Amino acid sequence: MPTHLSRVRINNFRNFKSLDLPLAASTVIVGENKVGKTNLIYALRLVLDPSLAELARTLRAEDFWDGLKAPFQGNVIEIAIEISGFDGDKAATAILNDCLVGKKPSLARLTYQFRPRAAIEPAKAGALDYEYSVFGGTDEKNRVGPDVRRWISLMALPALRDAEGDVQNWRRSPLRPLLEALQIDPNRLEAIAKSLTKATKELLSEKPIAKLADEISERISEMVGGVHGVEATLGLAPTAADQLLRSIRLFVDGDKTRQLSEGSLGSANIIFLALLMQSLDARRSASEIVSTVLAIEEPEAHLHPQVQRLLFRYFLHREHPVIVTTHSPNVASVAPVESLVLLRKSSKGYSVGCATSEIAFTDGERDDLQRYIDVTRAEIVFAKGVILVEGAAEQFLLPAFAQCLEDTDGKALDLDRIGVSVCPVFGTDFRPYTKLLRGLGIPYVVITDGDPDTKDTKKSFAGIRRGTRLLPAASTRTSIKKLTDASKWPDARNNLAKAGIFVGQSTLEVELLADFSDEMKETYAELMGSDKSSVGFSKAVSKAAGADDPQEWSPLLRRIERRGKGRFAQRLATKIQGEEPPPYLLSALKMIQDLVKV
Amino acid sequence: MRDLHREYERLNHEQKEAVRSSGNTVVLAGPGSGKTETLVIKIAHLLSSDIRAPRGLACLTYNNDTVKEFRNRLAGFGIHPGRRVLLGTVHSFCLNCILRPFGSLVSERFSGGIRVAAEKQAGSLLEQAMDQVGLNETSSWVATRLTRLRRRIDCREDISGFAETDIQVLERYRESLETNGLVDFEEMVSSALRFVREEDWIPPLLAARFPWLIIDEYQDLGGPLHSIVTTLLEKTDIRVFAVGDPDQTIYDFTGASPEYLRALSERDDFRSISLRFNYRSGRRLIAASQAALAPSEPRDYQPAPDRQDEGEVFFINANDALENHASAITEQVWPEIRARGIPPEEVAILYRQKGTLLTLIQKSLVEEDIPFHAERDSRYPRAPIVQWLQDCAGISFAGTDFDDVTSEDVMRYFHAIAFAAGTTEIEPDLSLRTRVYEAVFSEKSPDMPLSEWLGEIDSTLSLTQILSAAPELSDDRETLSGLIADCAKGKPLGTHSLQDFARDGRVKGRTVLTTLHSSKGRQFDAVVLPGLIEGILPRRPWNRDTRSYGEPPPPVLSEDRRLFYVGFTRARKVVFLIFGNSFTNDRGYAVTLGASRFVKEIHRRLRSS
Repeated sequence: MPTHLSRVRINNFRNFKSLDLPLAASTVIVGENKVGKTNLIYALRLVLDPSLAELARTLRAEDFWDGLKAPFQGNVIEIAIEISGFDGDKAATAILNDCLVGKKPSLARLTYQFRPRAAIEPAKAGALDYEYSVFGGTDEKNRVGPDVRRWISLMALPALRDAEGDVQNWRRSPLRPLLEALQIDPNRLEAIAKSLTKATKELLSEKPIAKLADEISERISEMVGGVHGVEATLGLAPTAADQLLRSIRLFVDGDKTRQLSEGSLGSANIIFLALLMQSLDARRSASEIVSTVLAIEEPEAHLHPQVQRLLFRYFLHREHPVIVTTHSPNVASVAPVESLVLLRKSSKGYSVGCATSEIAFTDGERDDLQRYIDVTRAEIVFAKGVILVEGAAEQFLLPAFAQCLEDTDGKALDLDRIGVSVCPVFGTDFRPYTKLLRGLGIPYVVITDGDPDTKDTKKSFAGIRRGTRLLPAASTRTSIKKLTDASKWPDARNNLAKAGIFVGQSTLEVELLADFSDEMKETYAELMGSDKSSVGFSKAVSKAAGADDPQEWSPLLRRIERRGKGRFAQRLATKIQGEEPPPYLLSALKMIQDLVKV
Repeated sequence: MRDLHREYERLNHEQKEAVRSSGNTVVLAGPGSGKTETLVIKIAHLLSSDIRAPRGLACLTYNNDTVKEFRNRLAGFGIHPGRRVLLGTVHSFCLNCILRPFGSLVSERFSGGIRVAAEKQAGSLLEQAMDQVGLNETSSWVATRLTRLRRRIDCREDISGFAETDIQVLERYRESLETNGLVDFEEMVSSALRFVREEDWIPPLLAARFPWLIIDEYQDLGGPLHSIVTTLLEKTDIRVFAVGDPDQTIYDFTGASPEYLRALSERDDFRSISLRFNYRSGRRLIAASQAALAPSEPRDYQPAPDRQDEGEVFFINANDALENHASAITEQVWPEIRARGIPPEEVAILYRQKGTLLTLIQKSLVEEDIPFHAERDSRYPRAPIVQWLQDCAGISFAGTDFDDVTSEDVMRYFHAIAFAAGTTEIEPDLSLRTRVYEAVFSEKSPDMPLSEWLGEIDSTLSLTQILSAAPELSDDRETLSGLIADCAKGKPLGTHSLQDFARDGRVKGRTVLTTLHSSKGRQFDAVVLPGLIEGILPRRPWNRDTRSYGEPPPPVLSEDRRLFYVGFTRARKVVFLIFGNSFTNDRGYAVTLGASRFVKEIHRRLRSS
């Protein structure tokens, strides 16, 4: 892993009362508007950004966390970052050597503090009594100055920045360091400049052009007189040898006819980022810098979703520390699973954060989640609450059933509107998902089938066993072995329900028979369009209804599966909208509604 | 700014070799060989070629005076010590680059930071340990002996020659340091050695920050530093550039030994370069000094190729009384010095130690009205606070032309102590700057009495108050109050002026009277060496059985020889050797062992050439 920020702690700064976040080499920060994504980046800049003006490091009243009784008055704003992954990088070690808080592997800490000067009564300190310092390690006296930021820095690219302007402006252009680093023989440059001058002269001495130049001059002198001396001449780019490189322009097509300004905003952004990466790599290999963390804010602006995914798959998976804030599921969906940070407002008004980097996933779990997040466009990460279900059938039916409940405005409950996503795990392995959601602090419920099975004449429920294994603390679990004892089932189910795990009696479709057998028959008939099969389906329904033995359910389930469980549920959903579902589904819906209510 | 290329071109062949040498190097630098210049150019060269920022180097020197000298010379090349270039003494290197950054990660003992024991505190802990063991001696004597013992233990060397009680006292003393969460001066280096040896993660961190270690006066830095160096060499790819002269080892009593530098120069992974030219002394003096050093091992030092004067050596026989040594200075030496037009401040009278001889010399100088500065009597304490006060004093009558001290230098130190004391803020604000500026830059007369000036600056800057605020400043506070007390009327520094203080007593028109040890690293036009009698230099041991003085044991003889050599080689032009046949020792007995063998050897050598 490269030299990167591995933790940030923020106290009393803007949205943050006390935030403590582990970070990964690539970090993707998601969160709603105004939750403090930009402020988090700004906090990092206070410690690490060499381009941040000296004055900006002296904070103001509005930079203190709102929840304080008053700004200043002895309150201390503190931003501590930890850096790791630099063992073996001698230049980085040379810089961070006296800032260590951990060994093997080395861990360095830099802390920015905005605090009152030493005073007898700090509580009376006002703006003028405050100053900032940055120190390394744990000793406040071990101050570090701009020399550290010069080598190990953070470069922030604000949202909606003027990428086109930046590329065109010589001083800000990432093209500049690249061109300036080129070693071109000055004699060659001189020769090229001469021939350019010659060609320019030829062009300008073409009669019509020369005439036009005279006319313009005349017009100006008519307007303001010769005294104000505005001298206007026509020309091409400057042709002096030392100016030559500056006149190199980027074109956005192969024929060099369209300048960047004529391209789309999106292409300007892509070009800007490409140049930036190129110049950072060049500066690093020339030992001009040791490590630069790129912080890119909301890069999705102006970028086509496909391009977002391609671009950030590249960014987030290369050996370069990067922090991205985003609203875009397209960006989040290509982020490494352990790189996600979720910021949200706590009930007390300040923002809190959760990070996936410290969740202990197995390799298999990580791979599964990675693909899942990619394919589902990271929906699970953006949700306020999640209902984890087994498959597509629940995914279609639950939003429809939810409408039997009321939202706070007294309208039929719309899961989308309260930010609840129904996420199918396509199977029964809920564990990676619950780990992820717990790690991110996103409330969730799990709905799973009862799946009764009989072994050695002893009946038990695979669903209860599965649910029990999902409980985070072993102490709350009923022993799996005891679950063959029928008297334990209600208790086990209750315990699981309290933990948000809702286990049915049988299988979703069978559970629905009790109240919705007519709607199911109708659905089947619509999908098949033949009377004969409808008759068969009705028979299967009668056989399964009320039966305890899973053998009795299989004709029904086989028929539905033949049509596709998902497709069946999709059609059925239109018929049961707003109806009250079986109790375990209803409880799950009520619980998630409660959990997302803040 | 000085032009590095031009300065490099001015070096001689060997000096250039040393600068260009790309691997581990020992530079054997005799007296006057231009080693400091070579070192400074080496550093400038390394920083502009081999070592890419942000990596840097550490330059370790013998004491704070040499640190200052290096700081000034490096500034000439635009190099300022800081994060990338560490310039300091061995102790400050160990404390600031090893103990402070890593201490809390190594041991619980250092979790609250490194606390350095004030001298007084260390002294009383030592006395306690002595009481417990029942050792009844002057504690300062014991301290010196224990330093030597401690260094031997740390370097895993033989300690069989030490008394069991000494070992016990040392153990107790070290325990009490530990239980009090303290390190003393020596412990900084021992702990640093332990860190480097036992914590395998530390050497790579050091080598990453300092791919080069530049070490001056290697011969006098002692075993623990040598062990740190060899451990780093073994565990990392750090490169070492060590400069020194085994012949000038004079701190044997603290455990220094010429062997460490020799051992380094004999390693296979080291290249050894000898600087042959002596730019200080005339040909005759160079030849004579080599005779004094080791008649059997010629060093082949050469005078500068364009050197015209030969240099002179006077042999003055003071016969049988120490009084004659003193009167020889005023009656025989002084006319010669006047005749040569040598200014008094360019004359150094060097003696071995306090005692009858020194008293007699002082008396006769006073009687003959020869102005002198007796450094060891009235010497200003060596401490950062004093160095800073001296800079301030200099600025207050000579402005920043004084010794190239900048106002930022002055500000930096004051701010550092104020910050340590917690009485000031992170950055010096305007009012603090104004206060310092007013205190230091208000023009004073160079003749202002030192006591008056100290009183003034102490009250305008509240120095005593600031120094009392933090325990780690207590040594500085003691030093300051001691200095102020010594400046009172009738006290040793009572007559000193601002100028005396700023120039560390080396004031125009005053001859320097100091010890052979303190002459290290300095130079004078003329050097006067009185008391060259067998029994004084070299020392001769009293044998109780035979009731006679025996031959000095080889280590003692060799140490004294080096001490004499160092004194002799301070001279640019003239050396006065005052010898005698016998003397009366401090107990009143006449000791008649003849003239110092060193004088005889020189005499023989000069006569034969």
